[in-house]
Amino acid sequence: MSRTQTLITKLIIAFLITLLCMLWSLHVGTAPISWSNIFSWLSSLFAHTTADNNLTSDQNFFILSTLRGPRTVAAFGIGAALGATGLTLQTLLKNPLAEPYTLGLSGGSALGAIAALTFNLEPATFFVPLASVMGCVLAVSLILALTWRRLHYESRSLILFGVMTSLFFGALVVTLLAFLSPDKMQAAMLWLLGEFGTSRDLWIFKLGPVIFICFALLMWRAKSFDAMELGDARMLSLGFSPRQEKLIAVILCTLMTALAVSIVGLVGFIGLASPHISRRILKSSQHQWLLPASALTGGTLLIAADNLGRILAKNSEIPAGSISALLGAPVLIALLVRRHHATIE
Amino acid sequence: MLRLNDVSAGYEKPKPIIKNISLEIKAGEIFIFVGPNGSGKSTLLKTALGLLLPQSGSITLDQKNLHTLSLQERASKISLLESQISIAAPLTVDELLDLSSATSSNSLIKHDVIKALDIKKFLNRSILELSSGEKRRVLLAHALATPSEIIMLDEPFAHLDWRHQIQFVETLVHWQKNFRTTFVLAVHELNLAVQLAHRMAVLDKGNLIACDTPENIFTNPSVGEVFAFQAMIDENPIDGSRRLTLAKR
Repeated sequence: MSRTQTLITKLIIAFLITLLCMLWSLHVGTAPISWSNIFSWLSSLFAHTTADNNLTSDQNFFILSTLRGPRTVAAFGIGAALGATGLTLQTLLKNPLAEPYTLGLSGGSALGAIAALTFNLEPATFFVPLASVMGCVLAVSLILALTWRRLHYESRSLILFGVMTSLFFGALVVTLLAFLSPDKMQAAMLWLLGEFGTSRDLWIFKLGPVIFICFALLMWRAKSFDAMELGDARMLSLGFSPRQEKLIAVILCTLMTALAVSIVGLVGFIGLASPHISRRILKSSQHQWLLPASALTGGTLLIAADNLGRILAKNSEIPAGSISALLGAPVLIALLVRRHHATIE
Repeated sequence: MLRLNDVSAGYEKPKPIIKNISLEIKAGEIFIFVGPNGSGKSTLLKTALGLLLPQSGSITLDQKNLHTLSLQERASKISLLESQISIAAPLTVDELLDLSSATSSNSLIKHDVIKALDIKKFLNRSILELSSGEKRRVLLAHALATPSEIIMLDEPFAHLDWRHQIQFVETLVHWQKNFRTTFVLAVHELNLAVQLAHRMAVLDKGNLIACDTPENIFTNPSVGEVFAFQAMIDENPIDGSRRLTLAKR
């Protein structure tokens, strides 16, 4: 089997695992839905049968269509966005520890989103993502101000800076919370923990296409990201503009992170773990393969985290962001201890 | 043909690293910059690539201003391999070679560079696992496989062992003869530079001290002053190549 065939096979397997995870996500929850119900719901979705009233009125079908379906799609879309963003940021900053959460991009987005929530800007579907993008731009500007001259800023200082930014934005958010009514405060708190199962899950059908376009644009620049690994001189030598390609990467990462955070809140470590897992499985560093693999891995991990959150807590839910942090923080520590960073002289 | 007209360039505006450099590098020649550490060799190469904007003066490639060319045109004419490249991702050697050309990959050239730099045995390994000399060879192969008319290499011989240094000298000569590639090198190994160069230039503290054939360069008294040596070039009795003998002044 040629190398390309092997890589395609691995991507197909990853895709199948993602599908299984999605099915699992439709199944689990406070009201378990039988597999036969899930499959008949799916077939009604794909067959576009003018659903006979007996079936649509069924409570399970209602749960699947309005709650679990959107939730599963949202978890996949957001996980995929975070995975692809994490990979791009690691390449852009030449830093294996970079990801939206550790760099403070998610924190900035959450600040913007919660600010929009506090000031009751309507329609929320439009203003919350917009404010989230603005918050993310703020965080990105801070990072770039620090690293523009030397984009591969020393790993640990950069992450320290990112974590500080996150904490600072977190403190601002908590300050904002004090001005919220108790019911909104509850919602905002859960936002900070990264929770699915809210009415915002449905936003994925509006924001998802934008995320998908961003991902397609990342795929379009895949070769330039490969060249980015080798530094500015090689980028120019191969016909890529370092400034322009980095700007494209920064803009796409900002958008994807902000939109993802505006739906689910803060979810850490998905963006960190997905690229590393993908690299290990594919044994390739080419972005044309790594980007889809990281997106699939990120989507799968986030669905799995959400599923676990529903299984572990009886009659309640643990936010997906908490599960991903519980599992992801040890990964970050392991990477910090055994860092993959070599300098060629 | 690469031409620098009165070029000054550097990283901070008031302090240029290279000052008022004018020179011309002809198509198909092997041109080597020498000079002490910090003399501005690397800065000059980066400026010629277009990575650094000249603070004054202009650079032309075949009579066209470098900065008016499209990125693709520029890349087809000139490329640079820096002396230090930090890579964080575990790229395999094969992937790195495939990256040489942004548009098409020429399998014949690829085959040639793999042979010339003796890297066949680690094609499938990650570049992070290789020794510094092996990494250097892989990066040189990557640079040679780039289909640009002028290939600039900053300190290509650093980290190479004796055998691979000589092998690389032969490769460059072979490449220049067969593909009419123009090579612009910055080199510290004066004996290798003398063997390889058609013409050389000496830089010191950002100034161009001399630009001439190897024979004339080393008999130039101001060059002797820069390096604080006396030099003599004669014929190597073993293989008839140019031989450089140096003595402290």
